[in-house]
Amino acid sequence: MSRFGRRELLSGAALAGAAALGCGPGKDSYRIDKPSVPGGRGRAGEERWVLSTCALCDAGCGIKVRVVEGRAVKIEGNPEHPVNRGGLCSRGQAALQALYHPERVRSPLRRGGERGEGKWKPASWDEAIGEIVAKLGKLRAAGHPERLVLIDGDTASFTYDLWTHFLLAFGSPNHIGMGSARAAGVKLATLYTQGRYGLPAHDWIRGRLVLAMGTDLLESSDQAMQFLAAASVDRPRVICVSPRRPGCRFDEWIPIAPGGYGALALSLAHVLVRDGLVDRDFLRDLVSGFSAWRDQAGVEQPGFEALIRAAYAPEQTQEVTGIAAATVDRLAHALAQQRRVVVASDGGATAASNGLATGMAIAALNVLLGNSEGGGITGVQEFAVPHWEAPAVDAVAAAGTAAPRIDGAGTAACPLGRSRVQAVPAAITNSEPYPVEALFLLGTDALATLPGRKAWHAALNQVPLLVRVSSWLDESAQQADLVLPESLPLETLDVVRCAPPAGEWVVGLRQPVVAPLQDTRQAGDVIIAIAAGLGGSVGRSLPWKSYSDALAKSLPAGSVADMKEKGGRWDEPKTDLPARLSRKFEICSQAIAARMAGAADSAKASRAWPCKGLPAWEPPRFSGDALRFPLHLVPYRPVQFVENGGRFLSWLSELPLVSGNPWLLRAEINPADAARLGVAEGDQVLVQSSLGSCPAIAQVSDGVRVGAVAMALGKDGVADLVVPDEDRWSGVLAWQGTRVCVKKIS
Amino acid sequence: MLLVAVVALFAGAAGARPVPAVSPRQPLPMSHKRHIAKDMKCRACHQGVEGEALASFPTLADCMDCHKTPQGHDPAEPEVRAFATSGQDLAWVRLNRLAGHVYFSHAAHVTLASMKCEDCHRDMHTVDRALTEADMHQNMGACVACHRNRHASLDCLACHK
Amino acid sequence: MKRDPFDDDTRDSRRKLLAALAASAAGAMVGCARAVAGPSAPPVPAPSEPRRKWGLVIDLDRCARCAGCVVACQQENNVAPAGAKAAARTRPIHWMDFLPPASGSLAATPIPCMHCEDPPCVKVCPVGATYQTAEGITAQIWERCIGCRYCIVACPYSRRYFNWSKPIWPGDDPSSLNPDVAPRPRGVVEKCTLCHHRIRAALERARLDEEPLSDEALRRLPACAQSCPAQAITFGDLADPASEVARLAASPRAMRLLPEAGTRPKVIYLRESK
Repeated sequence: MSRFGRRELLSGAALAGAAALGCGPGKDSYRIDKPSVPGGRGRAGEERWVLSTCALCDAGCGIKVRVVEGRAVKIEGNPEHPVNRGGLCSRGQAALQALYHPERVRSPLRRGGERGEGKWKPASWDEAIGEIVAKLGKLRAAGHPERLVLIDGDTASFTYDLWTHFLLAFGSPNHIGMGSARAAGVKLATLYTQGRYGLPAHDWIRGRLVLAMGTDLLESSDQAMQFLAAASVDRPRVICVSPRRPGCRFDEWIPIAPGGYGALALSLAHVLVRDGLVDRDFLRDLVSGFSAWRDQAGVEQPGFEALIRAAYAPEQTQEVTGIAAATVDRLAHALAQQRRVVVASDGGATAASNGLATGMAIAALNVLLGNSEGGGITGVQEFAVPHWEAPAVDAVAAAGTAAPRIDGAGTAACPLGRSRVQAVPAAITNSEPYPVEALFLLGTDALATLPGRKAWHAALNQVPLLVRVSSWLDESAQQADLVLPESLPLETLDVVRCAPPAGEWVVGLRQPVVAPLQDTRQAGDVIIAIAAGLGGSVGRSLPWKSYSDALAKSLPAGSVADMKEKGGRWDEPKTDLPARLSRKFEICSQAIAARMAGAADSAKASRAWPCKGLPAWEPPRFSGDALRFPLHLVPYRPVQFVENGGRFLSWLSELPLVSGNPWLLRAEINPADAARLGVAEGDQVLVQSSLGSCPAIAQVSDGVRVGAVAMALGKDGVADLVVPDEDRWSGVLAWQGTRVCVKKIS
Repeated sequence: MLLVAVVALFAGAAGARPVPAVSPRQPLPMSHKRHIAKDMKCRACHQGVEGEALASFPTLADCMDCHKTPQGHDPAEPEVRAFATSGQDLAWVRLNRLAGHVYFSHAAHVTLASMKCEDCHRDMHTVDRALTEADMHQNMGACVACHRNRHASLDCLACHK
Repeated sequence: MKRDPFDDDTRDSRRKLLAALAASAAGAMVGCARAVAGPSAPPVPAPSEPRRKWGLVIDLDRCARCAGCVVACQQENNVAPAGAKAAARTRPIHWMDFLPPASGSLAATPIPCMHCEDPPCVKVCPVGATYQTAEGITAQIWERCIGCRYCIVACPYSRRYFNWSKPIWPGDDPSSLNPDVAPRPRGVVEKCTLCHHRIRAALERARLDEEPLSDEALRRLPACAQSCPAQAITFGDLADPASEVARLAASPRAMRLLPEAGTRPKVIYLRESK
């Protein structure tokens, strides 16, 4: 190491020459020499700020991007935006690394050689779209439009709606979202209790106590920003219930066994009801099914209250939750005393084989305490939808959309679910209910982020046309026939649904901060081009010249143009007391009752739903023999987890939230388990499940429950350990339903 | 060898390194001498000096304010109008890029310190050709001496970034 | 090159340099560094401006540990990611860092440079690359640093970082670098600057607009404070009793790290529980 520090000084010969000329060290090490900007750089020193909407999670925070001489140099939060009020988390800010990243796909690519060989030939957009149009046209001509499947990781933008619109006109029912692998357990619970699919709207601002069930509050969920908005006003007390101590700030951590959240919620309800702590007025006026009621046939149903009193005492559930009865009692009384409570959950609590029942139990907990002073539920989050004319559906399309979905959602296999992405590989491999001829993968690197990699690999290889719409050549893209590089969110115009703190209506505008740097296109423009190529009723259904044109027509005239100035559109935040629920909250869900009335295995159904629409909570199932695999795997989403393209944002991989090298995958084990296994901090270990194994570094921590191994999703290998079991009723993926063993690798 | 190296280091730091004396090709053959001879104020074209860090360059519209009608008899002068009608972008080739570790604000010096352009850009009225980097060159010794004389900040952070 | 009437200083410094070369080489480097470019006289504040004391308050009860401040700082100040290999050798640079949870404590602690009132790092720097400004920022002049790393040893909070290798940007593409901050080369120590480039710009803007710089404008001025979604970080003038930071610093929840070290840090934490 040089004593003098500077490389320049050591080059004696050069300096001798330089000294002769009277020169110094020469090269300006501090200068930033930026490559030229496509289309010119604008005036020297020119600086502008562009408002847009972040795309790294579904919260839809408003951002403003600083552009100097044509280059984006900083992303900050938009101070006027109601979701984030000027703040921005690590993910949103790191998104800038994607824009100039060298590994971006620069143009459409066509596979040369075998699948997965990694040989690519650049193609023009016309060629790529032409190939797709040819294939899809043949499908329509053969009368099998349903054999086109779209797996779509995005739900927040109007591009999603355009795909839906296109598929209706084309004739495929297979617009398959990732909900079952994310927060469908909570969103379905909202659907069945409040009539609309989505996250419940909580009164975060006035809530004084947050009971976080299975959510870190900073994980990749919409609710992170809502919680933080509340924290910025006046900090609420936070009690986290999870098998792993959360990374966010909290006041109390209650370790719970995986899959036990539903039992805990019902036990808390039991104590509240038993000790007379519920808000009777709220329950009488705004909740149906709490007390005994008569169904349409005139038969008396017991109601939630009776079922809760009869079962779910804390003493009865402490084995399955792992939480002492006294703790449950204390917690219930703390909730009741505070009154203004938000019981928050997202996919973490419902990621087990009892996911939907858990989601409904947690939702019920929110209404038992009412919301007259704040907290609780105020409805369902409001979202904008585009106002396009309904698509023209011809006979071929009508027949196609009438076909069953390949993921079986809504059928006997999954009567209460809306999508079930983990069922796709088996469906493709078995050609059940029919073969899949074309598969589009967007907004998610399914092969890397979903469990069951081998099955996915085999299935994808069977599909004649596999198209990956993505900015990156990720694992799923490696298997594709065509890679269509979509413009990054920072280069895109779109309308986005945002998730504001108090359930009010917020629409975000996403607009390009720089012109696209590569030969990429927006997905919306690609869809329109495909429709135009197909012509006929499909072409007529998407009559716009471009996606920008479609957006202009999606909302009342001038709305999109108006939104450019503010970065979106929103109402002034409500300052009065939380809104009354607009319709009765159904603790006993009539929709479930109706759907299960004709269920194929009705005996099993009525055991699971004893009180017509009220779920009986079942203990969770775990995959893997308990002797061979004695520990429970708890995969979690760390704050830096970004599903699509996150691995290219190196600032996130390097966040200093753990001791030691942040890039490494850790298996977090309790000291008692570590002692038993002979594993010390820093040891190389192999974590094995019945499906696969994954090497990791042991982290011995009292922040993990005894009997559990916590591992961060997003790093290679963790998803491969998970056995894709699911909730039999709703299709919610049981991320926390896998047993593993841990062995030291010497 | 070490002696030479140390001399070289501080010779360099003291600003004795030579700078190119070659004029880059600018889109228009603008002569500062002729414009200053017509009693034009620097600010007329470099409008950013009063409010911004960078003294801006004139846009084509700024040039055409005067040059839309013939100004003088220079054979090169009609080039301005020809350029305007050609529809090209007027992209001046930037000469003086400050060293990466230096922050200089024209506004602070022109507006807040009430300095004149000639205090630093001394010989513009003699330059009849396109400028070179040498014409624009400033050195830290000059800055520090003036700061010392006028009791301006001698804090390193005032000018370094 | 044209003869420069302002060149007196450089000629003087060359004479001093040649004289000093009679001494040992290392000694010459130190002496001459000071002779060439000040600050030989203490900086004189403009008469109308009060002497400020910049400080930061971090409310640990509001901070959610989202690490938004870490990325904000890295982006604002052109701090390159180190990469997996360098990270294995504990070389990532985070001007705003997170201390892992201490035993008994509940969560991690965000920690920037303390900008101590009595900074130990300033005392050990052999070349005067680090010094304390009149307004209380512990400043680092990248160009003057010779990379001896004494300051890293001296800092009791370990908030200084050495560039062991040339910072690499993805694809070697510096397009998204912030033009307001110089990126540092290999061999230089760097650390949090309280975003002094933003402070300087705000002060200049206030003077140009002929408006006093309000405390409101200061509270979220550094990149970390601005990005915090929970508004847990507040910046301002501790010497101004009407400022938000001064008010928060007087809170019963206020505490400082390592008070026994005698450094008198100007980053104050607010924490209710133990």
